[in-house]
Amino acid sequence: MEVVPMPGYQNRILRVNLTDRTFKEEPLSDDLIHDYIGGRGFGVKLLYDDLSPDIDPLGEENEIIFVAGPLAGTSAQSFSRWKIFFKSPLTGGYFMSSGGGHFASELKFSGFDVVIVKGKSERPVFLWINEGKYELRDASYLWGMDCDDTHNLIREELNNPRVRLACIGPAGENGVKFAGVFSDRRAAGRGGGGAVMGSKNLKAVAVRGNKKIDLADPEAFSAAVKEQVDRYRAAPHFKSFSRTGTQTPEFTNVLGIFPTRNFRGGVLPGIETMDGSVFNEIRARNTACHNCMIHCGSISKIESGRYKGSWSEGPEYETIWAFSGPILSSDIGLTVAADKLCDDMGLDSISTGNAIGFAYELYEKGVISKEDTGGLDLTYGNDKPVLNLIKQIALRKGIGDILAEGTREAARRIGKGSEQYAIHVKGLELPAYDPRGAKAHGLNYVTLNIGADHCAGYAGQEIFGAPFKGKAVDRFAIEGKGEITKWNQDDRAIWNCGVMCNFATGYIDLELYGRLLSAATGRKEFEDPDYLWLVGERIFNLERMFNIREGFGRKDDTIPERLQKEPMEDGPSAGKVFEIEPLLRQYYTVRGWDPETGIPSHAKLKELGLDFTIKA
Amino acid sequence: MKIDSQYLGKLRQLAGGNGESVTLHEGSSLIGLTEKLSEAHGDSFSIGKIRENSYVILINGIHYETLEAERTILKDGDTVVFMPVTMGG
Repeated sequence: MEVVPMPGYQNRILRVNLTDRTFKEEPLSDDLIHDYIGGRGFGVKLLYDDLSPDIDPLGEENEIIFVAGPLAGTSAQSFSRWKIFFKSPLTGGYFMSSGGGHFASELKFSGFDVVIVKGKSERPVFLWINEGKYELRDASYLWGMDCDDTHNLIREELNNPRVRLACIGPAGENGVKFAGVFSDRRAAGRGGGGAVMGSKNLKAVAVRGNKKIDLADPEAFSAAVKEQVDRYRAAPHFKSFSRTGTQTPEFTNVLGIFPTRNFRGGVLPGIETMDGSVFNEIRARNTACHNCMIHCGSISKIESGRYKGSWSEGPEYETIWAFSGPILSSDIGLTVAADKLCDDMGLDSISTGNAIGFAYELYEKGVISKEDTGGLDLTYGNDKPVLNLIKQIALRKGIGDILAEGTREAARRIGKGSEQYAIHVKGLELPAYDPRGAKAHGLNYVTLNIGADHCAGYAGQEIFGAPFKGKAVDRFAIEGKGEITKWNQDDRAIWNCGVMCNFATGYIDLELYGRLLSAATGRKEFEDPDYLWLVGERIFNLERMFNIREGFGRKDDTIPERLQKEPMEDGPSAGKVFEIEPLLRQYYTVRGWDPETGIPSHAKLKELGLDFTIKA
Repeated sequence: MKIDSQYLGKLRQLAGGNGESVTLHEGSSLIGLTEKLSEAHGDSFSIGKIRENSYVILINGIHYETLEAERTILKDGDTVVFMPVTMGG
């Protein structure tokens, strides 16, 4: 295919069919770029167009789509997020997940914006994309290898240490429903993308290249990047966040929303033994994604205690919580060791921690016993079984086999009332913020098209007091939360086109972001914040329509009864419940969706240019 | 009255510890506390610097700006947390 130069983009989609081992290249269409910008916009539109409803998420027809944004690989800061899109084996619906590191920029340098993989290979393979050329290579010898070893061995095989990968570990191979996709210990962890790759016998996608990314207006682009860098440096919390990253679990503990014992309490006793100051002591060095001056990642190393010698890149806030709050442990060593093991096995640490916390509560309630756990004592506070359980989940051994299905399906299989202890939305386990103490944050969990995720609608107004339209927001209040939630979700969809890291969007605004996009791509419409808001809302609604086509609706916009009926047990959010009905009513109204069905109105879909989703 | 004043992140270094008990006159407001803390630990604890640096203040777990901001009247036994903005992910 002749490549037509197009600034910002490489203007090439690579389609790979693993069943018949065929490849096809396509240019980006002008409509796709205009209507969806890139990143998340491209992902949802391509997935919506390509997939038929009701396909098996682990079948040949499902796709996994890898996307790098229009600003990936440029000198603009913090745009090296790569995204994957697929129908989720965990939720049964639309899914997107995102990772950092260097994969996005290297994918662009290799000559592609998008790689779409479908079908199923007869034997394990990895896809090797090098300077615009591509091939499938045998990965039989890599099957069973952990993610770190897979990186090393593929780089050795290709005789190139600068190759970047997105790969799966044993969890993905074994069809663990919350297996992730990993790139240099950075994860697109959520939703089971690793299981989708595993179902296709696709061990990894390896990329390398030196292809230049053209810019429409290099002078304007340089000026915009300089302004971006200046704004980072001037931000009051830039330096401290650069140092600590998200290794500060105490910030939600003081709000009383650090979930403990499977979302019963909100304060972890002993958290001071693993708070930010302790992480500062175990941080060996910081790490960074491609062209990101924040460098918020950390290599952490444990020098004493039961987990002496353990190290990991991270753990991030969510992982710190996943291996402390759910089991009532505050051993920083476990959080590091479990983080590394999840990275090696290829597991989403959030869902893994939830699954283990779920098992601990079943054990406490007598629903399961040592007979079911293979002799493991799952008493709260006893963290000894955790690493064993992680391995069992990844390898589908013992009780891990059933936990590997995710808490919703595991509860269905176990029965005996265990459904009430499965803490998920649409099958996706909750992140580390109890929604009873942050109502917009919880409403985002309820209404996100992928289920309970914190990244795609984070309510900073409630968590760290950011004003909304100039006013402080009461985190316990119900009124106004529909509007805030919609704003947060559409806002994230806009930034996810770039694709910009969530940690960096606070340093710049849509006006500067629009200038970066426009100077890179030459698309003047991207300079207009109103246009960006339109695209953000369009993306969110198209994701919704993907799920509506799959049979989702208001019945799926729910949250476990525990959070609606059992008051928070302790701390500054004690006594609070999550009032789903009034919150959801507000939200549907603000969205322009039918309050009875949760389906976007025809008028809303037409307004957003989504007429094609309306059934005749 | 006694206020339990707690510090997180880099504010611990500025305050020289994780927290302390601060004695204030009955009826004192948050600004009374920040004035006392800035006398003891430096200007970083003044309400002006707190706003400039976007530090978070929680009074018994509630963001101070959703109460009466710096004019919020404190009560004996209140816990006031000072922390820099951070993020989870």
